[in-house]
Amino acid sequence: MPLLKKMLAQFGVEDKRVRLEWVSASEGERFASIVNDMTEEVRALGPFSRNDGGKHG
Amino acid sequence: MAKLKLALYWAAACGGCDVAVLDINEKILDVANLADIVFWPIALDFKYHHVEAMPDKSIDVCLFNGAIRSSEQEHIAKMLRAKSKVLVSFGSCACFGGIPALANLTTRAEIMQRAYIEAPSNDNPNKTLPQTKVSVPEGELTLPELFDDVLTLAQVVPVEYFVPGCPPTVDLILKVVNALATNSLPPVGAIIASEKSLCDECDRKKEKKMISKIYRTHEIIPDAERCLLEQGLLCMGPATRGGCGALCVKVNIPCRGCFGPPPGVKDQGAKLISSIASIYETKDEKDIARMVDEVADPAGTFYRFGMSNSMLKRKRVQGK
Repeated sequence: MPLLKKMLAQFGVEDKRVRLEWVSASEGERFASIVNDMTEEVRALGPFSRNDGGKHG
Repeated sequence: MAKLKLALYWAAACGGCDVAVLDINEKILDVANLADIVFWPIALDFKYHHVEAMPDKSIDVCLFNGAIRSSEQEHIAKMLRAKSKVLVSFGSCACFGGIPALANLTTRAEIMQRAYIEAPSNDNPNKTLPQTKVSVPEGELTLPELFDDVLTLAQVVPVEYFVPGCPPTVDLILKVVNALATNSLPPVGAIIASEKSLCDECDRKKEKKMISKIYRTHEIIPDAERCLLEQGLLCMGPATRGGCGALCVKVNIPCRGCFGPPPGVKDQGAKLISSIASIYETKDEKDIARMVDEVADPAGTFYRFGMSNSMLKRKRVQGK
């Protein structure tokens, strides 16, 4: 995961767009709060433009 | 059977693919018996206007090497597509972007700045940059436009076959030549190489697939028998299509991944990161941080030949 993040930084992908958490099936509340957190963080970053290949980026 | 009409072209490439065609040695005479070469800039003096004058679909096969990163290369790719019945994406640059596609980690503006202004060997006090048009007393001069993105051939025009490799090996080239000679080409869209990963054709000993340190190739001399990845070298074998005959690993050099991802793998770099994650022997944060430092340039290592063909394709340009 840290290696993936180092590489994604080279591609200009913000750190907060990728997150790995382990959540047990019994931790419903924690799961919900992680998803909400992540949603808010990504919303704050705004849409991620995909680079689908083109002449000018 | 009438002789085939064969064209070869190079776009953003080093010339190695063209040399590889010559490396088939005396078999080149078989090619000459089989086909009339109607266009081959590295070897024969045909001009663009000769190709332009040919009727559509009049070239039987075109072996196109090199990535597409300029308006000239795009123009010729479209022209050769129209003139050719079968267009072959030949070599890693045409298939996946190749080494030139590492430029996708930067932008055209940054490349110009570095090459014409910052490079220590420059003497350019007026900070002149190449222009696509310039007027001189004799008239207007033009240059092709450099793109921000390095593209694969198939991202620009439809392609019938892919022959990977940096460069494609003699065996693969002969396979293509034989398929042409016997009119036994595979189904359209085929990648002419192996359907397995490089690890499947590597005969090194695989023992205990756990590593605790990653080395760069200049730091150790690896054992000649054991799996290179198990010795801590970043070998792209698990994430790379076979078909090359394991040439690099046979001479103690880890695979760099020039045959692209194996069947079923969408993203070559992501696949290798996943392979490393599963063989790294520690859960200690410090060890992991050290390992991340030991991989000096993950993007350039895991997508050395495959940037254009990867899921991300390039460094994200802010504001787009």
